[in-house]
Amino acid sequence: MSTNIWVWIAALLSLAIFSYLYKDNPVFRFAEHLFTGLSVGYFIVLYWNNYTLPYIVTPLQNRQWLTLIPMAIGLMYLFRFIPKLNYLILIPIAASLGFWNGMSIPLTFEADVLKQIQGTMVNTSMFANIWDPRKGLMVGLLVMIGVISTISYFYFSREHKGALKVSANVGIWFVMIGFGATFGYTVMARVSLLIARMQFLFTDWIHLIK
Amino acid sequence: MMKFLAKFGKLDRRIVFGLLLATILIPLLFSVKSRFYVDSATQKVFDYVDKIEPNGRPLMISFDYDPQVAAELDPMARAVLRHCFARNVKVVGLSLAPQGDAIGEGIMTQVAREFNKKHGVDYSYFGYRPGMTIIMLQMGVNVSKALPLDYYQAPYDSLPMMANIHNYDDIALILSLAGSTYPVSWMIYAGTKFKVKIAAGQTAVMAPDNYPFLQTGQFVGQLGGMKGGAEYEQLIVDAGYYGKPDVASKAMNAIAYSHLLIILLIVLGNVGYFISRKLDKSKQS
Repeated sequence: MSTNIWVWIAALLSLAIFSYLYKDNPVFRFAEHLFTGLSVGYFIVLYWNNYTLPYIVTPLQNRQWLTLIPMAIGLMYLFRFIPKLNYLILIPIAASLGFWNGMSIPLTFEADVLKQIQGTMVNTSMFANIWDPRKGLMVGLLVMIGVISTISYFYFSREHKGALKVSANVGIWFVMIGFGATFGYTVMARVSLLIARMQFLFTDWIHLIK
Repeated sequence: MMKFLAKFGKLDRRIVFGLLLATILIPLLFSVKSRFYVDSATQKVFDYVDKIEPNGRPLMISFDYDPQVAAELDPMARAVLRHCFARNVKVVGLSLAPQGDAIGEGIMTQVAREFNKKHGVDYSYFGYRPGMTIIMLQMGVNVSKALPLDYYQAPYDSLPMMANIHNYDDIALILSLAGSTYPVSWMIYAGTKFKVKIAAGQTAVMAPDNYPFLQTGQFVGQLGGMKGGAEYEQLIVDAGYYGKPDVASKAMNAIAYSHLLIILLIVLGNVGYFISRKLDKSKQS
């Protein structure tokens, strides 16, 4: 058994959370509320130290008065609570939207759209090794068919009849395979978290696993 | 027999939890071994790190995750750091997620101690930097402006290993470890704009979303979930960089058996559901 008080606290709180698996109980609720309170406290300190102090308090102490402009724009969000001046929150929203759109749209379009379209296309280098499982022609064709058929399933401006129906049905299969892969990974993720907690309880706490 | 199978369609969830606990604990307690294979996405990250010049351009690790997913991402962070330190590759650490701050410091200090590496000389840790995409973009122009102070409040210029690091041209690879879309943001704002190489270390939930980016080469490679960590642990042991596999490899045995149980329960659950439906219909008629 561990002699570290913090390991004991962590172990007992872990068991308190696990007790919910049987049914809801006061021990679980205590651990839940403790976690919520600690998180809020942690984030208040974190935001003060990482945002308010270095970006507002310290610059103002150093007489950097231009800091007042973004600070004033940020404070305009609080006009949400004054019905007569409610419309003023459009100013910080506009500033924020304009900044993020200007920064994100060109790069996101290049990375998420252009590069992905490029990756879907069959190119001449694929003919060099038709059966290569990563860069061969057959894989290229499979990707192309998968993308086109999946998009056709989400084309709702025409009734799914004839060729569109065939394509949409093929698309459903690709979507289902995608969901299956995601589900498999999700199961592994959840099981991994449980295993890690068990490793902690049986290794660090009661020293049963070496 | 039919009635027995029908019960699997309405199995009490507490029985499922109990069975799952047993399949996890037995392999852990009795060191039951199972085999696993290294995924090409993990191999690519390993190969890339293996080619970084010792004492040359550093690897940048961004600890962009919170404690709730640390179980999946800590092992890969340790394995990659061991790989780097064993090869004398310098490492720059930072975190763009608020709670990743202390996680990164703990892991970097622990692994650096294993290899007798000195802070500021062999590795540097800058802790949490607020602003996410702003930091990503700013480092492309001037790293010292984006990371003026390290985790211990030492100025950038006082760290010897940072003397030759001005922007992304001086970084060999960025590895973002995250349980959300941070690696994609790194790929968009640092990879696309500044052409720096990006690799992802993701929780298993997020890993499938990145396959399109792996296919196009926008990510060098990816470590996916506990398995990614276990694979990397195995690779550094096989290459002789580290003595023995760590926690992720041990967890893989429990994962293998728990997955078998889940597959069995899905099959039995479906069989039970169809049989109980059939039995209900025969009762009604």
